[in-house]
Formats: sequence, C-alpha cells, structure tokens
Amino acid sequence: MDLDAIQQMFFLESEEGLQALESCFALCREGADDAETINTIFRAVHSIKGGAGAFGHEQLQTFAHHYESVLDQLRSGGLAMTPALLDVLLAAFDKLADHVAAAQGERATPDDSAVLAALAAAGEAKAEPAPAPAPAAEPANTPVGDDFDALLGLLEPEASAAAPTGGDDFDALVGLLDLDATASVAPSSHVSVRPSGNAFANGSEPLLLIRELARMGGTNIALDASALPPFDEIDVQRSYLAWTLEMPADVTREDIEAVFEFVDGWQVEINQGESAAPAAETQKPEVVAEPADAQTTVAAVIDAPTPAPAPVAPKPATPAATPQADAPAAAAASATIRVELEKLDRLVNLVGELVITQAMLAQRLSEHGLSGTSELTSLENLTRELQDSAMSIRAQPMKTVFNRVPRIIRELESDTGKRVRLQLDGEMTEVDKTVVERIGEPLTHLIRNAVDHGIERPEDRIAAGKPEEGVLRVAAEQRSGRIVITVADDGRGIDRARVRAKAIERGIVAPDVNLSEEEIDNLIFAPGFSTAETVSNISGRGVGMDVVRRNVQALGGRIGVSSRFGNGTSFTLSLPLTLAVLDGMIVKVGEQTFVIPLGNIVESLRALPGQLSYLSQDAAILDVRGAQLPVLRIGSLLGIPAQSDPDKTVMIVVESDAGPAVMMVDTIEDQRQVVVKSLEANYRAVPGVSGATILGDGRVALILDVDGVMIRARQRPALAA
Amino acid sequence: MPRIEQLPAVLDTAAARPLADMLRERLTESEPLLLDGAAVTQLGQACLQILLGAQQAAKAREIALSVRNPSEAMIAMATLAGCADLVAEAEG
Repeated sequence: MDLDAIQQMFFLESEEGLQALESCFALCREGADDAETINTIFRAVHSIKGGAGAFGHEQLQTFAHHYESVLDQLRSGGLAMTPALLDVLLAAFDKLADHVAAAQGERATPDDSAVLAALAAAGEAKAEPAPAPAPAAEPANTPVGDDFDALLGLLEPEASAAAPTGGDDFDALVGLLDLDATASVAPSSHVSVRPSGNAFANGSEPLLLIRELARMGGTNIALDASALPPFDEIDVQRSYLAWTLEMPADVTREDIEAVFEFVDGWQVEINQGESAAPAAETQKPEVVAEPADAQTTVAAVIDAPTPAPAPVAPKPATPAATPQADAPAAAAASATIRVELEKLDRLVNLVGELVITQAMLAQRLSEHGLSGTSELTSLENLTRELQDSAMSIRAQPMKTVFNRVPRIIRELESDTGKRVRLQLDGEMTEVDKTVVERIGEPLTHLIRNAVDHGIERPEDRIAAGKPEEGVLRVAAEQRSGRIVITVADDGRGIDRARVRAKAIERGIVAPDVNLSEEEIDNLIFAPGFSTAETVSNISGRGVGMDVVRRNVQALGGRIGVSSRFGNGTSFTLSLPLTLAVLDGMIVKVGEQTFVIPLGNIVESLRALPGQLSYLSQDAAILDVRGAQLPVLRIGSLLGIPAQSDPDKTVMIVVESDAGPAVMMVDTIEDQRQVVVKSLEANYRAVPGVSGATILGDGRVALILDVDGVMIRARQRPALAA
Repeated sequence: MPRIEQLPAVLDTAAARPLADMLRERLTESEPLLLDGAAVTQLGQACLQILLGAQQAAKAREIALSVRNPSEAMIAMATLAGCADLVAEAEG
C-alpha cells in the first residue's frame, strides 16, 4: 500500500471519527455526557491529530492538539461539562471538520483563531488553579512546515510543571526534553521506533511522529544511528535512524499505537511496565558504532512486507519476538475490511447478470414444460438471496447523512436567532450507497426550509403559546421495500391563503381555479415559487422546492407534504432502497416491451366509452373521475406501430413533474423487479428512456422515464394537450 | 581558516541530496569545515542523518567539522531527535 492510499485511509477514518463525534455530542446535548462518551470524543480527536501529524497536516494537527488538551481536562475531571463549554466544544468540532476538509483540499484552511481563543479560555477555567500559564497566545495558524513553531506547542500547561518555570519558551522546551530534568517522571512504557526504509516517500517526515510522542509526554528520547552506513554510501531517500523513548504511565498502548496508525512498514515496539532503562543497543550519536553489520540486519526488516494496513502490531509476547510472530495477531485484529467501491459495483453488476440469466433459464425450461423443478426453485431462492446480500453490502445507514444535520441546525440557529431542538430517528435504517450520497442535498434544503420558513422566532412562538424552542424531527424508516424520510417541524405551518395568492401573482395558477388543500400545499413545489418576503442565503431563492422534488424523483422517489396552519409542516420522501433494481410494470406497445417504474404509476384502467375525448387526430384527454388528463400515446410518441382502439388499449395513470398524465399502451404483461442497466454507459442517453433491462426471454426492454416522456410529448404538442 | 558553509533555512527531505553532495565534496578537500546553522528554520530526518553521517566521516578522516550558530529551531529539532550534541559541540 503506498502512502497516498494510507493517507486516503486516514481521511476515511477521520470522516468516521467526525461522525462518531457528532453522535457523542448529540448525547452530550441530551445530558448524557458520561465518562465513556467524553472518552470516545477524546479518542476520536486524538486519532485525527495523530494521523494529521503523520501526514504533515500541521494546521489540522495543531488545532486538534488544542482541542484535545481541553478534552483531556474534561476527561480527567479538571473541567466540568457546562452548556457554555459544550458550545465551545461544538464550535471546535465544526472547525475540526473544516480543518479535515482543508487537509483533503476540499476547502481553504479555516480561520480558527476565535475558536482557539475560546478553547484556551475554556482550558483556563479549569477547577483547580493552573500550575503555569497556558500557552494561549500560540499562533492560531502555524505556518505549514514550520517545525519550530509547532514544536513550541510541546509546552503543555500540565507538562510545564516538569519544566523550568520563569524562563522563556525555548528554555522550557529544552528543559522538557532534557534527560535529567525529567528523571523524576515515572515512565510506564518503553517505546522503540524504527521508521521504514522508505519513510520519506511522498514528503513524509518521521520526526513529526517522534515529536508527537514527545507531545504526549515522551522523555529520554535516545537516537539509534547504528544502521547509518558510511557517509558516501548513504542513500538520501532512505531512512536509517531509530529512536527509543519512555512514555508516562497515563499514556496507554492504544494512544501510542494511534500515533503510528497511518504509517506502513515501521517497526514499533511498546514494552509496558518495564524498567525505564534505555535499550542496550541505543547510543548517543557521538559514539556511533561501526555500521557495517547492523545495516544488513535492519535492511532485512525494512524490506519485509507488512501483512496488514495497520502498521502497528499488537504487543509481542516478548520484546524479542520476530515481526513474523506479530502477523497473525494483526490479521485477527479487525472484523471489517475496506473494499474498493469499484469491486463492489462489479460484484453487484455480476449478480444482476446472474438474476437475468436465471430468469432466462427459467423461461427456457418453462418452454419445455420443466418450470416446476425443485432445482430451479432452489436456484431462484439462492439467486434472490445472493442479490439481497450483494445489495446489502452496498447499503449504508442513514446515519452517514443524518450526522451532518446537527451542524446544519447549529449554523441555522446562529444565522436566524431561532432555537431548534433536533430529533433524529431511524439513523440505522440502511439504504443503498447511491441513495445515501444523493439524498443529502434535497434533505439539507428541506431542513433549511423548515427552520427558515417553518419554525418561528422564539418571541413569536411564545406569543403563539408554544415552547420557545422549536422541534425539528428528521426520521428514516423502511416501509414496504422503500425508505421513507420525514422532515417535520412544529412551526407555523403552510399559510394556504398566502401560498395561493402568491401562486396567482406569479401566474402559476389561474385566479379562478378551485384548489384543494393538498393542491395548494403542492404549489410550493412549482418552479419559481417562493413565499419568502426577503431572499435570504438560507433558503427563499425560489429555486428550492422544485429542485428538491426533481432530485427526489431522479432517485425514483416521491415527495409529499402535509401541514396544519399554526402547528407545523411535515415533508415525506419515499425512495427506493436501491437504484440497481427497480419495481416496474412490464407493458407492450406494438411488438416492443417497456418497463414503467411503479413509483410513477397511480392506477391503470380501461377507458370507457365517453371517457376519452379527442382534441385532434392525435391528441386526446381522458376523464378520470372528473380530472381531465392528457393522454400520451406511447406508440405514436416513439414511432412504434401500436393499437389505437380504446377498447384494445390500457390507460396507465402516472404522476410526473408536470402533474398527472395517462400513458396509453397495448397490454400489461407483468409487474416485477427488474435489474437496471445503464443506457448511457452502454449506448447513449435517450430522452424519455432512463435505462434498460433484460427480460427472462432475453429481450431488452427499455425503462421509460415518465418525466422525459412528458417532455417529449410537450415538444410534439399535438400528442398531449 | 576553516571553510564556512551556510546551511539553508529548510533542511527537509528535498534538501538532503544537495546537502549530501555539498558535504561529500567538502570532505574530499580535507579542510576544516564549519556549518553555519543560523538560518535553519526546519530540520528533518533526512538531513539530520546526512549531518550525522558527515560528522562520522569527518571524524574518521580527522577533519574538523562542526555546526556553529545553530538556530533555536535547529537546536530544538536536534534535541528532539536525541542528538543535541550534533549542535552542542559547535557551541562549546
């Protein structure tokens, strides 16, 4: 594994760490700030700091270091959790997330000076008097690569007790690192570190990790330069040095291992509870031994392949244990593995092929009267099970989306002055990765909309007899093979009179049209509709809800709204659990077979005499219980010879962006789940067609994109009213 | 008179090769060598081991080699790396 891949792993784990932090802070907000929760927060920040150090992300590391210092005080009881401290920790958490994003190159380095000052102030407010002044004045944004400035960060308030007081920072630093000055500290573990031979690859700096150990209280740092070859033979790209250190009693093995979590091929030995005496083989640089023999033994270790991504093997049984002895333990350490998405997609794709082949086999066997064989039934069951298993590998909990919500709420509270209590339910509901990735944007918009337009200001809520704090509930649940996401607030609800007036003003509806409450509510999804008095940067740009609906529909989903004026609004998103398979109605038009997504279908019926009115030879209207719906004749629209006699056709009422419509097809053949094949990837995008599938008899059936068909129809106005 | 070489401000991995080339060349000249570290703001392992290697080679060839005026940053990093003597020798 190269360094870039390991760094990528660090970023992934940082994201997971941030998610864990969000969950823990949610508990803290509910008052459940027990020792375990605080410890989890500390470890997550500590782990991010360690990785940042390994990859030279100085600013992230420095920020995490200050954050961790306050968390450490909280963990050790030096600070008590208060609402004010929680606010500081949350602000620091958001800033930490920004720093992680900056380290990934996703954004500019954030200005963290205000948060660092707040952290410093929080740290100074500890219960017992601080033994030495805290280095609160440390530069907020340490220049990248400025090792000396960052090194001064070693001067911890707590560590400074061991350092000479009264001197300047540099004296204190040297005192901290001086062997004699720290002799009174009782170390509990002896750590030896030998970076891998290629430890400088991609600009990595092994000394940063030694510095990190020093920051954690490491002392008696001794250099082992015995592997250094004669000067003329030194390869400048190769690492030859090693170090031993003593770590204090309160630094656990896990803390030390976390420092080396993201480096590969290093030899790290941690011997706990042993004598603090330096290892016999270490020596001062001025008495460097003749290197000839040592070089070969070290080189052998450097070149040994590492068995697992985690470079730090568990503690060997004895200090003399060989690297090979560590391998099985390292392999057994984790019950999960990371798999490239591409490999997973290939697996899912192959399973899809298998489902199609199985359907073709079943069809072929049925043609020969062998459809009822038990082997075929077993194959069908196994295939279905395999498909479910493959899809479940891609499934992710909604938690990955929901974890972003608290921050959005915090920012909205800050921007609007409103107070919102967030209630998240169903975080562990699993849904396909693609859906998880694409639902974030519409969900964010709904949430912003709910706080901006729905929930009232505290004074307005009190005046309305409501609690000062509004409630926003975001929930996910699986229902009938779909995921249903609800965003509900207890705000002012939809003012239908105002919505109707605004819709008339904008020409969205005619002034004389009678609209039901549901129809008025749905006007907010109309393109260009916005009731915001002022356009804010939160929502109200008038490009919101129609985009939300379009995004949801692009995912094969639907969005609904229900509201009670004065009591709140609830948006409900119903989405398929996966985009790789689709429930569809198989229909025939002439000789061609099509699939209409079930998500779009409202009902199907045969037109009775008088129900169908022709506006012209091609354009017709169907009267469905008083509603006049345009009829889309699929055959005519796609240029396929098809039935046109109403007695011999089926009318399928569908819901689309542009409202309800009717698709006229020859027959309905079946209703089943189909495996979706991309048309873009295999051919090219075709307007009105969202993909293709292969039927049991081997024929290809196109999957109709109802909205696309409507657009095609509009371009030929004679076909639709 | 010993020859004086100014060490660059940044002694990171990228600086290791020019540093090694310079020191290898100087050590062939058999003249006392002083490395001025006043400008050093950053010292990484790659350059550190070059300096250590050069120090050993100078000793073996009986050539005087030391670091003078080490910057605070250089002293701090050398101390952190457990080789404070690399820069301390020059001070004395």
